[in-house]
Amino acid sequence: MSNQISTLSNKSIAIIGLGAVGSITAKLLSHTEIKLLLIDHDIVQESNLQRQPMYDKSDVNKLKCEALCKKLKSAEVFPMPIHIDSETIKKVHADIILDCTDNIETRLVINEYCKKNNISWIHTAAAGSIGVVIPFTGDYCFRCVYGNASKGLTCDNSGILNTTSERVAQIQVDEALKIITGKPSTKGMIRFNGDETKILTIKKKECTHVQEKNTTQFTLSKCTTRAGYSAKPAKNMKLNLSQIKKKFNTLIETPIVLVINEDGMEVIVHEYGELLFKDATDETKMQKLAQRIYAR
Amino acid sequence: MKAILLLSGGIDSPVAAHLMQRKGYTIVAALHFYNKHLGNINTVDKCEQLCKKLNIKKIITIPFDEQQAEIVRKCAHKFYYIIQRRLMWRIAENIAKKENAQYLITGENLAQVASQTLSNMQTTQSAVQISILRPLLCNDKVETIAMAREIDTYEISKGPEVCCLLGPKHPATSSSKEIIEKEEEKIDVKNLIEESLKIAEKLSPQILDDAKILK
Repeated sequence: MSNQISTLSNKSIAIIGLGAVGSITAKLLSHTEIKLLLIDHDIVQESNLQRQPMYDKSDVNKLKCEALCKKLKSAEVFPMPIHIDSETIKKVHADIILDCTDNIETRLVINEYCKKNNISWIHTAAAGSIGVVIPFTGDYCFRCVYGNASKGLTCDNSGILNTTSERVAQIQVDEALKIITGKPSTKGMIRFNGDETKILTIKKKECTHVQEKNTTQFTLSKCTTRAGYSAKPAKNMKLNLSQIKKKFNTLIETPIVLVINEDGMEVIVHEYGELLFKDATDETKMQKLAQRIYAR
Repeated sequence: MKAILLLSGGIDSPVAAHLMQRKGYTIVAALHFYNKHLGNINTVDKCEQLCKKLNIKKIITIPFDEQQAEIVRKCAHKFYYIIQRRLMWRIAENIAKKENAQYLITGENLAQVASQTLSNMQTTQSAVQISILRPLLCNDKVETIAMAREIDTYEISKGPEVCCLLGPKHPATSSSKEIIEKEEEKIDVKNLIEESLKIAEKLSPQILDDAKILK
């Protein structure tokens, strides 16, 4: 467990929008060691207080990102009081981006940016007693789900129960932690209405927006046996060992495992995608080699 | 009463060694199969430390990567552990003859892992003539661990270890001599034994230690 936590300390998550969902998401994530970028240019208004429990009267008229940073003492948090558009989003450098906004324009900006840079992101929406969470890890994008929709339910026209935003935040954090620790996130749209929760499969609208990825997402971490580093792909995959064997200096060859020697490192390559680095300490070098091994 | 100890570097085999020594058996050598490439830590180091603790004067180490790879390449994967153990024991039997020992000591424990079910133990046994001593056969793991702490080998044994990446997800829990012998026809067992004996290295923990001091 402590290994798991220490690998999180070099990860970062950007939370865009610090209303009800965003502020609770930040609170939940503040108990991990993940660095948090808290992004919102808005100030706390008195009318926010009944459904945004992270803020109180003393915060009124203060920037949300700064007020929230002060409350999350246990985490490494960075306030960013900026309005997100296609230019400003380039300043957001994080492993995952969480959409906690309330408008479609910002979501489309996040969508384009994440697609271009191969960043996983999670879309959330909450209104009334309905909550929606969709993790985007590359198989489909926001436009695949919503087409070019420009308007939907907002809190402004339907109000919101504060329990709805709490639940959306919880589900979002679950999914974010799955992604950041290299586990498969839920496929599809997680949607609840009151007590009833459903996972809806996404029927791709004709979408040419998702570029085929040529890089494989993986996590590199110290083995729990303390015996080296291992890289595990985010999605289940089967490697073509006979291809890999040709590309690298191969020491041992079997139908399920190869041992290769490259860049001064010995790597055990398992057909199910796991790589085991022996006696290596340079993480950047390992990352690069892993990417080369996974490249098709 | 001379015996060869099959020493893995794990928790069980040092305890097995200790129990047999207590009964008056002399362990003339510890035999350790290790991976140069398929593992990623030095288990030989561990075995040196364990032998010093157990006052065993000789360690024979055999790199085992190619032999294991050959089994995976040619034989039905689910029998991997059984075929591998039969090969190890045959090599051990050869070494016992050379060292003038009449027994092999193992840390085997009934049904602890797939290769240690009664059925698979019998199949493994049938590969050799030599008597096998299994002092831990009916221990509970907690008893073995308690004993390892007592004789001060636990801290050495519990160190970093890599699981066998070549092992099948679902290893066979039962087998028969006939089926396994058929599988073994796919590999050149005799040659694998000879090659293994050729690359075996003998180490003496004491001498090694002295050499380190001299440096």
